[in-house]
Amino acid sequence: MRLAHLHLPHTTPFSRVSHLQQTLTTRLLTHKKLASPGSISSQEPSNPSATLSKTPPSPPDPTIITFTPNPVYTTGRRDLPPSNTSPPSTTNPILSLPPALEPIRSLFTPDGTKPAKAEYHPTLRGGQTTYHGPGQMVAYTILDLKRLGLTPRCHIRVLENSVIDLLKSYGVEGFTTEDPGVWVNPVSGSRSASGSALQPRKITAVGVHLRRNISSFGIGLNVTDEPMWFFKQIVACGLEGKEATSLQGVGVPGLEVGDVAAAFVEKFVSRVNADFACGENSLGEKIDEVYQVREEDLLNSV
Amino acid sequence: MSSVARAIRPFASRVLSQKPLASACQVSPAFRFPRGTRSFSQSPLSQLKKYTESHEWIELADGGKTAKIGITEYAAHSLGDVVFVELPEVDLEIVAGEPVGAVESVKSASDVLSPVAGKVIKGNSILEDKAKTINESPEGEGWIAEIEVADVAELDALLDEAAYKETIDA
Repeated sequence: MRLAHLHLPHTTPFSRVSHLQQTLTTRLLTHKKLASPGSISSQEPSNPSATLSKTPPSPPDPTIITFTPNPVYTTGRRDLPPSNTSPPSTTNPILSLPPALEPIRSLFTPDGTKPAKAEYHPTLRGGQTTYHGPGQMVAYTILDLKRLGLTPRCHIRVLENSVIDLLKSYGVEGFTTEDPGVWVNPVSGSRSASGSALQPRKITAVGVHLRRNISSFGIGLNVTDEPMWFFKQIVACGLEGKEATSLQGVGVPGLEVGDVAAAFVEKFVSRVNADFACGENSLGEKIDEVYQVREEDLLNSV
Repeated sequence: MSSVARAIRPFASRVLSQKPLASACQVSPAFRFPRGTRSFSQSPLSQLKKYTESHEWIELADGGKTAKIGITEYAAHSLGDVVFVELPEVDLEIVAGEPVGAVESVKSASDVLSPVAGKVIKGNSILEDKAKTINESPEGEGWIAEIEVADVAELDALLDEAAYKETIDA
């Protein structure tokens, strides 16, 4: 199997990636519906694009999108009111903020001549409120877990382990704790806002959405300290008293997001290909090749 | 379609009163009717509890008009510890194959898709306080939604237990 890699080189609106991701997810789901006669697909596809496409001979390639969005706070399912089994509405979301973001309402409101400091996007991923923005490498994996032979738990572990491998290549030791995500120990002597110098700090957030084993969303890795101010405004991921850090924060400055993204994809592929150990079934396909795609290739290839 | 429901009801209640027999009367896994064939001679027993390839189960209640929906043992196990369950709103009209809720474990939120069309009667409020009930009893106490089934015949197209087991082992 081949893995398509789309890297968006410039800081981009979150909605653009969100749309791309939706398109790719729909494509995989449509294929799955058409390809599984024993499933509940006897119903009309609810998505109009699904009716247009004909049965593809082989499943669409899995895709990984790496990007850096404009400052955006995203919420997961747990933070939303309980009416969200459908995709988020397109009406102005600023009017109804989840409780977690209520204290920082002013960030989302344009102030006189100045634009709003950040956007807000509710999502259907797992995990709680987090921040994405400049200085961060966000990687979303849109793939059929079944085809890769990964269970949902396993998939999260592959994402976390890929980040840990990546950190290692920069000489940083990352680890998982009882809290989700990837953590690092602060470098000795670094100052701490709450005197918690010895506490691990979060360098990567993880959150995934699954429908029929098709995954979307993924990870956000802090490369520079630029996102730190935004993290301090919220209790990220519902973890009170835990601080965030970045590669720069643990002594690896000067990294380009694009380089980090390319390295992450490499680690991800090795993990997928090697980590059958954590899957109960080892029947997943391997990733033989990664190829670069452009946004227009992805959108036009239906 | 209401005639279908009427036809099935006596079967259902009869079957419910002798439940232990159910496992002895499974339809052979290789024996599946093509979609669209609505044969009730297949086995009325297999219509009581059905499965989807996306690991949901649906069980018709006595009377055959309402059903409970949940996720399978296999799904609960592969998700791991469930920390949050999103329940559907009462009266939500649902379409087969569309979400009727979600189950969230360590950072993965999985949609729960409704096996058939219908209308939500209620969500299982036990899960609001104790999401882990899904892990403890996914096909019992940990049901997710109770719905009014629009067309009972829709269950026919779903997998019976043996066919579902086959999809897991495949």
